[in-house]
Amino acid sequence: MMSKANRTIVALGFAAALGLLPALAQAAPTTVNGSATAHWKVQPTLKFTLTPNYASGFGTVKAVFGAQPAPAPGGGAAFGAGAVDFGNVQAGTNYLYKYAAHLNVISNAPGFNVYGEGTADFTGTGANTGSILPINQTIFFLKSTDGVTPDSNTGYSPAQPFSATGAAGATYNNPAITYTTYPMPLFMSPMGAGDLYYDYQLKVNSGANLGTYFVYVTYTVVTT
Amino acid sequence: MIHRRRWTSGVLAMLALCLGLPRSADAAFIQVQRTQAAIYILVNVAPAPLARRPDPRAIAYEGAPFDVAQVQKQKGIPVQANVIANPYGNLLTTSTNTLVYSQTAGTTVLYPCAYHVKVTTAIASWTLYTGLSNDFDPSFNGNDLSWVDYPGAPPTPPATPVFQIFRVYPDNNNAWQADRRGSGNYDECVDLSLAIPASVPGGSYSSNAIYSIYY
Repeated sequence: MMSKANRTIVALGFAAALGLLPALAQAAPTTVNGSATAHWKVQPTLKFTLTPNYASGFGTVKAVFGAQPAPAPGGGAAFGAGAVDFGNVQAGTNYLYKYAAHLNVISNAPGFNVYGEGTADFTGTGANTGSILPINQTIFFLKSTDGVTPDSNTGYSPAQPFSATGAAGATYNNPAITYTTYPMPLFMSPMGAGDLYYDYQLKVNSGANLGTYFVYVTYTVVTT
Repeated sequence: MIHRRRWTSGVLAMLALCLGLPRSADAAFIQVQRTQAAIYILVNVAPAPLARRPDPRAIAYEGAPFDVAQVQKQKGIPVQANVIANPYGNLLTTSTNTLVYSQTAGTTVLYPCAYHVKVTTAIASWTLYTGLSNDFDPSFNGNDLSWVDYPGAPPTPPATPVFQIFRVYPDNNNAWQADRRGSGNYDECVDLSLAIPASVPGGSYSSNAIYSIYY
């Protein structure tokens, strides 16, 4: 049983509540118009795979006119892996390397740039240490195919030279390049994803010292 | 006596005919191609679109409702080779294997003694042929490049050089054009004259000047 005092409190409570209701009913229709600017950055995604020797039939072809010799890579090359290994090459002779590099880019960006440079000049190793072949006179690149469509390039097809990076700290035997300023891009994509296929060419100066040479060609993909 | 005179006249007539033939008809003298040398020629035609370096760090779609932050990934491919001796040694060499020119479309520029071609041999009779491997582009014919050669050690350019257009091997029924016949060692300078049609779009174009020696 509710005491008299309690009944009084409940009654006052109801009254108070009822008294507030009109006030609440008046506040509900009031609308404040305005605008808000929302800015946010989408978390970037970029997947970049680089596959050497990406198609069957990869390898070195001596530059000749007419019927092309069968590709024959050096021992450091393997299907989908290893080096772009031209193997034994004669001084004063040009070569094509088929299916050298496949770049696959997937991102959520509206586009991307590809930068490709040598980490240094083509640098003598082992007993040939100290010898240098300027990479921009020695290693060249040209568009290729996915390997399903035959590649008709030869060692004399039009090509562009690689440059040695100007970025400080890069060395011939380390693929890393730390850019403070990017060089001229090899490729500018208006889309966020794409595939690029490249052959390489080697033009060996007739005065080249005999022996082994090595360098990294480093690709840097930057979303735009 | 009359018979011998006729025979002598016939021989002399044939000799005169042979000597009077243009160089391009030297096919009859071709023996065996021994080796080739190539010079890569890169022409950067202005205005070159690639020269307009974009700021890769600029954010795309400024003012758009959302931005994608820039991100970079990097990977490298090892490239290697083992240079071995050319079995023909220094029989046919060039002073460079790469030429790079920057030139504006619609201009003609002379490049004096762009390179040397050297023959080092004791062979008493050889023939040197030349030509381009390809056109620079469908819009930029290889015939737009001309050459004249002369003894290069020391360089003795002719007073009135007569340039010849470079023939493009695949456009010339897969035939080279005769350069010169010689004996023993020889060193020549080659002047180039490049006339880029005004219609050629800006960009980079390349071809190869090929030299072949036969004996």
